[in-house]
Amino acid sequence: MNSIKFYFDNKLQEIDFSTISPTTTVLEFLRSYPGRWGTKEGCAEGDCGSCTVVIGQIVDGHLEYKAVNSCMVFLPSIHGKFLITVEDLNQGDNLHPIQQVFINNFASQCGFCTPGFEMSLLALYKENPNPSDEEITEAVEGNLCRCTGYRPIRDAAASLRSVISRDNITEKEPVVIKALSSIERTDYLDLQYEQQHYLIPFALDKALELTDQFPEAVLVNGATDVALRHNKQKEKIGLIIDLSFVEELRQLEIKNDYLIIGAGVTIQRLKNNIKDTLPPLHEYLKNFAAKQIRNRATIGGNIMTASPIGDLIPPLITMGAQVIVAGKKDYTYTVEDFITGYRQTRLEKGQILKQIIIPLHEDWTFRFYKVSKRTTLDISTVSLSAGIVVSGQKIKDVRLTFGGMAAMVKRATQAEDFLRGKQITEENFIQAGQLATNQFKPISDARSSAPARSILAKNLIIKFYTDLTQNSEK
Amino acid sequence: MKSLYYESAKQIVKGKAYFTDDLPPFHRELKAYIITSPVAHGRLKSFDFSAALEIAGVVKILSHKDIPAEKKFGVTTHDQPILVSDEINYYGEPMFLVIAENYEIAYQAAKLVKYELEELEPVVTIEQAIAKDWSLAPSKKLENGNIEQGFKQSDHIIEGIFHIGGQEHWYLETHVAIAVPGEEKEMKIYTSTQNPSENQRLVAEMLGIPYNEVEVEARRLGGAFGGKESQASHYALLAALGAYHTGRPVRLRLERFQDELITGKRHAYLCRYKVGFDNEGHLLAADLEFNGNAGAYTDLSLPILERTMFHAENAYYIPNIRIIGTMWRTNLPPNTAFRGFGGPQGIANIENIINEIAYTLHKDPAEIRKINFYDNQHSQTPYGQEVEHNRLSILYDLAMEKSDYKKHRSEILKFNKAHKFVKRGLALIPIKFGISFTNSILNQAGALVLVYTDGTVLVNHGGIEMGQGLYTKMQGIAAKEFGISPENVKVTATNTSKVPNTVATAASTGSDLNGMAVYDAIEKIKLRMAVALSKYFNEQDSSHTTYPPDLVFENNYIYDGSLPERRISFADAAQLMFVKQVSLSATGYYHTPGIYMDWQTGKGHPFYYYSFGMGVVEVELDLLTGKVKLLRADLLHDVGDSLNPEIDRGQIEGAFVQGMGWTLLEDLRYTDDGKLLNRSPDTYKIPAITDIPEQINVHLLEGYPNEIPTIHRSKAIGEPPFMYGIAPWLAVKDIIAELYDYKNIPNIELPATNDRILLWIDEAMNK
Repeated sequence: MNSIKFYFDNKLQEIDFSTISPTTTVLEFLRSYPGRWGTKEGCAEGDCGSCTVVIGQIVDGHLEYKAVNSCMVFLPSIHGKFLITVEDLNQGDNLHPIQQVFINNFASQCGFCTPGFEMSLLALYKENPNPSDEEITEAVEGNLCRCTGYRPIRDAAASLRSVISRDNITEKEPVVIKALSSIERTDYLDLQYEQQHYLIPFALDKALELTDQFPEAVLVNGATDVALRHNKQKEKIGLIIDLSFVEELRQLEIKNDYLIIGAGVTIQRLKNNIKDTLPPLHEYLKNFAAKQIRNRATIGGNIMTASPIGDLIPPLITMGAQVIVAGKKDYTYTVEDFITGYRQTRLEKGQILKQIIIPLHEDWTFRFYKVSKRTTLDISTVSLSAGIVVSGQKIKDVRLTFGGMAAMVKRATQAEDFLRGKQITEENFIQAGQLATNQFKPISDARSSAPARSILAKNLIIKFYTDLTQNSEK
Repeated sequence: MKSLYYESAKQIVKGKAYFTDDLPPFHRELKAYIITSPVAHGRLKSFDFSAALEIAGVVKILSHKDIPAEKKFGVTTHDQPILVSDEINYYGEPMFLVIAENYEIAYQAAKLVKYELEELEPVVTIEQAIAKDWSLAPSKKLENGNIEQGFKQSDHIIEGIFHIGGQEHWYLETHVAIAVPGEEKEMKIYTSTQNPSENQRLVAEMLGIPYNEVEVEARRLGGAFGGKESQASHYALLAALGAYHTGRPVRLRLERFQDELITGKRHAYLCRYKVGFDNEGHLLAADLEFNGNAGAYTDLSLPILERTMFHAENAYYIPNIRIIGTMWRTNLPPNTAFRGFGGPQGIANIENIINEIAYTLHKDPAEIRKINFYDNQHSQTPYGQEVEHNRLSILYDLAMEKSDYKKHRSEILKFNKAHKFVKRGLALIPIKFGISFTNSILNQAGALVLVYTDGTVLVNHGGIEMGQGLYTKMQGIAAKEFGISPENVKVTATNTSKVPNTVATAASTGSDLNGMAVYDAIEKIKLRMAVALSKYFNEQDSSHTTYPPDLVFENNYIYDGSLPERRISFADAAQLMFVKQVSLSATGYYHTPGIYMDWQTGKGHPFYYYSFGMGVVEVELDLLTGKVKLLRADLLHDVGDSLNPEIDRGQIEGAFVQGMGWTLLEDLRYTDDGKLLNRSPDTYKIPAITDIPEQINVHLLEGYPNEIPTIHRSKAIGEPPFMYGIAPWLAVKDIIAELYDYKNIPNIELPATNDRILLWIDEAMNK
């Protein structure tokens, strides 16, 4: 069967890929669907939120809603899901409360970004009818508006608290659940169009079988990185294995003082689940891209980019995390060892990154810093993931992992060596900062300059010191 | 006054509003894709489309050779090639146009187009252009008093250089045009432009056909900010060229990275200054030199330079002043209009100078600002126009009070003593912004108002709705003048076949000009109705004589003011006019009276009036990361009697945040060979919701109608509040100056991005 099914426009839709490419994005699909021109393309790279739609997915028998950038979602990955666009808010002659507050608060000026904001807020209020200010901001931090300056949008969003209980989307739920549940289950989907081949396995065994059979396949999960190759490079990606339906890759649990994370766990889910176990990582992940991207991007995907400015790699190295790679047999590496160079890892063809294991240390204190031009929805200029073990007044152990200072994420080994056994004093950290700065030869690029990066390296180590000492005063 | 909601709000929130690219595909529509230059400077030697043309679905590939008549375009000077013919003048310059059945085929074909180039050395920076003497036009000058004498009287003289960066418009909707060929030579164009009439003229000239064969329509724009004033023409031209050669409709929509690559930005400037002042801080002399980076072609650079010069002294009276301005040609995309139109650069420069004066004298910069404001005794601008109806001192007092300035300033002093790595700063900025196109001729507008027999009204005018609320304001004006409910007034797509020969919707003049034109048309219809109705009333009942001026249009009725029971509903009256054979449509026209400028003498009266404002912004700077956080903004603005207070508030806040993006966040970096590095939102960062202050307090100055006749005594709003965005930059500068004890402060540029701030403060941090 060369097709997928999903619920949209009041019916179960079947898309046959003999006439349409499987790397068609949901946005491209919507823009060609009659009567659904409300979803807009602002950038086609997940950086503006104009194309935000809501995806409903059945979890434990009920529908969970997430806002995503439709420009970065390949159509096959919404198989079995409920696609909601701005037009679905309309309830006959009555306006949906979200629509009404946008009018009342003058929250649309040119209006091009409005549908995207509405969708972000719909997902938020489905998730939580009474969100905090911070949660409201989080919901729309991935939506850019160039006209309003955001204040009226903030007010509009806040005025929705306790207003939305049941809406026409709630009304539809039983019908949607029934329709989606009727989709027959198969082992995997094999979608082919011209020279393109898109495979969706539903279990890890099948996924490994397929990666073995198609070792050259591009593995995707949230596809937030790979979709850019389609959107920007106009690349016709020939062979894709989509792992986003593999249940085993989505487990998230604590076992024997280890946090075990399936490689397919989204950044948003990880963030929301580690508020108490790993507060510094929870805080840090708030500035990972924006919510729509965190809803799609996975921890495995972020590691596999092996980017020198990948947000998760420095904290994982500092926390001593390990990865488990599945293939003919399982292999375990530390994250530090797994990443071998600029966008290079030890993952071999036919293998799949399966799990990430983070030890939950009692004795380590962590602080993770990311400096970017804009606070949210930005990639880091420089990041420091710092960890320390203190015994008495002395530093027993320390790890200082930098992103953005070299062609790959790197530890400031000279600074670490210097600090071990030393007292926690400003003087020592200033000196350590200087050693870190001296160790790296950063580059100048579109984001920042080499000299600024060098200054940041030492400053972030001082910042770590001030955070450590301020906390001990409290 | 209650604010009317946005006239399109309902369609927009339902996802049912049509932006240009939302129009359903036309029958047999084709798509166009632009192949751009990979070098900033060079020569196109040869090209070969044969391989690309073999791809199924490729219909045509066009080069400059396929342009039937006028091969270049521009606003006044037609010096920009529609497609490169010989010399390539910027990275991203359109060279060829692929026309195909769909975009996908066009991209694949584009990869197979072959061409040969000869690379030439590019000129990228203003300094390089000056060294090569690549000026776009002779320098311009404004002068008043005698600067040499002014400097002699001064207790202090300071000199410096100030670098100002550009800004990408980043409207959410990228450029788009659809050209639909009609009968014979006809061409209809749907496009996202601020200037339909200019698109019409240029397309006709390119195709060698009369203007009356070309119709251009724009219903709404997904943001423009000046970026679609002159530059949207390019895409209308290319789409029309495609339609001309294929005989089929052609759609051309730029993808974001192409839009950022091809289009011009706000102008970067290099400013030099020398100012003299007394011990109290009174400015006595200023010698100001502005050098703008125009990019490759003329575009709007010259009037932009003029507005920079007209705002070089902002709100300050400087008795002896000389302002010299030059636009320099470089191998960058032609820079263009952007909210403020050169004004922000002129104002940022003088505000930077005021801070330097304050540091020299160890005074609060706000005090220096205040003592230099124009007032009744000191009211002559460098170009001879008097600053009349001056509201600076009223606004200053209100701003001090509403922002609790003194208290905040003393708290900040304490805060900064108590914190080593986090500092706070506070800045006040005054605004005096001249309203009118600096090219006086452009200050005109037309309208066409139609009343139907059911009493509904259709308003057309030359203005463009781009989110600024112009249509809503026009709807409000028409409803008020006819005395009918706003829901009975519809404002329709701006179209060159309804109102001809219009000007760009720009320079904040949209409501002023079109509002008066709409008013004029309505007055004509009302007069006709009043004459016919008074006759009708008198015929019905001769016991009372109604004269046309007695009739009042109010609450959906028309009645005799001296005999209110003598009345008729507006709808019945409209129906009656048909029976009585009275025309219910009229055109309206307006031009701004009394404005002129003589650049030979450097004197004139270029502005109809001034718009005033006063902003106070507080920021916090993390010295270790360079991060700036906005804590609070108090913005007091003079809009006269507001046409729509909520819309005006929206303009003020939106402009402030956009201005803040320019001064703190948005960074354009170029390689030495002229390639823009930040050509995607991945590296070009406009403000997000997390960048705005917790508190933004906007106060419209109430009880101060415009003292000169404008529509309902309102004032323009679009551009002036952009200047509030300079205040956080000034506050950051204050913090840095304090770190250096106000001595030997490094040369702080605009924008003050976090990584630049780190470089500026590093020396102070290591002391």
